[in-house]
Amino acid sequence: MLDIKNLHAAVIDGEPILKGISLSVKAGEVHAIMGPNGSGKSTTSKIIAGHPAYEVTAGKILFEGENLLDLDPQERALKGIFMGFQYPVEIAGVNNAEFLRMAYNSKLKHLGQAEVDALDFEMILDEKMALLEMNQVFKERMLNSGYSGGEKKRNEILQMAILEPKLAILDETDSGLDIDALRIVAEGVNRTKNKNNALILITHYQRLLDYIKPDYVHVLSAGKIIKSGDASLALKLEDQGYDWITRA
Amino acid sequence: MNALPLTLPARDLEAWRYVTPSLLKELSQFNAKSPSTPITTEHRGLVLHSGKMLSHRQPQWREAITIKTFCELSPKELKLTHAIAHDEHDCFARHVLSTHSDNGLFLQMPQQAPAKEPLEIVILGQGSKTLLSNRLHISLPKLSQHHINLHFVGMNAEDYANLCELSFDHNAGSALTLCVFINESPESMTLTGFQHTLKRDSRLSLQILNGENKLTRHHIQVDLDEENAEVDLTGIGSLTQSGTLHHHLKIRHQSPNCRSKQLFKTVLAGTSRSSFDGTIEVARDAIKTEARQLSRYLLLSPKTRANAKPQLKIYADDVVCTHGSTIGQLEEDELFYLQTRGLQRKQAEHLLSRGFIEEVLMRYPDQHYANLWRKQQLDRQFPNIQ
Repeated sequence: MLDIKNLHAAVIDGEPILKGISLSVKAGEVHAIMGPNGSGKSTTSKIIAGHPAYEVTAGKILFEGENLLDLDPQERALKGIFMGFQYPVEIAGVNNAEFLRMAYNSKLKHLGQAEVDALDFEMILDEKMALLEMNQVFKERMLNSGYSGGEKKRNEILQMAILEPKLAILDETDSGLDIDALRIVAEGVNRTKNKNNALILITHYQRLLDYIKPDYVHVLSAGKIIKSGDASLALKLEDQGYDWITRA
Repeated sequence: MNALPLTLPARDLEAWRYVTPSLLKELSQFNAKSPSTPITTEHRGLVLHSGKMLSHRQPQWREAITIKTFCELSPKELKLTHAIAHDEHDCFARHVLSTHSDNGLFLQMPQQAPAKEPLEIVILGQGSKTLLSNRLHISLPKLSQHHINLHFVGMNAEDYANLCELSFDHNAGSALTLCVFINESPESMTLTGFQHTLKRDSRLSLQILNGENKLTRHHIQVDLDEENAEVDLTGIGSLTQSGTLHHHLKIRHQSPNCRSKQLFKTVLAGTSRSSFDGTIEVARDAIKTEARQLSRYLLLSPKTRANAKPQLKIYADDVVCTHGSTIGQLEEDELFYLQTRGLQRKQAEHLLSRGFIEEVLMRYPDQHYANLWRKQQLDRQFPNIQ
């Protein structure tokens, strides 16, 4: 599904951040990317999603065989890539439910299907909100504006549940969540998983991986994947930290 | 009526420095005589045109308010109409005041609103190269609570100019919500002067929805004369062609424990221009004042111009006064966020531009006018959100 080959990238007119990442993700798989602060985890997710502040200096990213780097962020989204933000932006004046309906209708339009009106969409929204045990007031609130950290993350997963992407990249979705919220969000993510979609989890902590079992765990350090393994690698990192890998 | 000749503001006059001089010159050449053709109108409410009352199609309100011309006023009432204290160089205000020194309209509001619907006042614009002037004074009795909609409406494509001087005396304990809706011809010019004098415990909420025409300029002065008076001013505008919009405000805290809040938000695109010039004055005795002012501009085109000049003049101790001003563009991170959800770039730009305004518009006290404004302004200017 996703093939990242020897990816080098930098902030435009800035220092290089990614220095040769290669990663292959197949449908049905869950990959976890862990690593110390500043290792390039969030940058990797933003580059896959198409953030304009970064420049890819070498390598390529293929999604279902197509070169992603030729596509704008919305084209990538419509092809089925979803990024859950570490820091979702707050947009006052934009109603959450209306925004979700616009996003959902963009997808339907791309697929050549009829767009839904507000009443039909409310039924879809109610079902997904129930999945995440979200209060109905979030329909009327402004997009992420004034939300707590946990509420923002839950709203990100709500968007994912509505858009049903082929590949979801969740950037530190567990940060800001209390224990109960983490379980609810993780259960929501697990319910959207199937053999046709894939998930990349970016996280610092094993606790998210207790709920969402990864098939592969990768350690990113100084812009490179320096070690890959199965779920047991995350347990070892939790126990021993990163020093034993980064110093090797 | 002995109207003073209309002259241009002095070139060095700070209050007019952001207004395009060619527009003022054009305006000074307009015909100041009242139009001779009869005007018919279907508008509800109290309809004014060039200082004259054309009709009043709100029966309950018509019976409840007392309307007099200035020449019919008692000396005490007449004194109230002299409250206007604009800059002495405000030639447009002087023109209106001299034109209507005896035939301005004085509205005595009732103690209680006679109907649930607000009092509608319509200032009608019509004519070619015609200078229309209106003078209105509204008196609010003690402990009264009122909602007035002031609707500036004009014939499409006509290039008249509407000059309007409005003064209000807010007696003790009164509360007024004044919703101003500017819906003039795109070729017209609108110059208003609002003067509010607030007594003890009185409240004013003045909310302005601006349209886009050649020139709109509001001069707003609020005098918080007695203790515990409160004013909340909001103005929004969305100019996407070549219109100009200027807010010139002076809030004078004269007594202790008064509160004022100002929020002005404007979107500019095309070659539009705008300015916000707001002063908060706190007199020596006005301790425990709380005054807040915020003006925000969103620029969508490199050819727009915005000028913001927030000012505080504080002569008292123990006050809370804040002012802020931002002039910026759409945030790239916000656009990216919306694009990652499948929205086209243009859709994202339109959604964020509308959101910038909606944050205020959704709290507008009269949602009938808010919806009308959405339809006439936002749906036309930022349509790509469906």
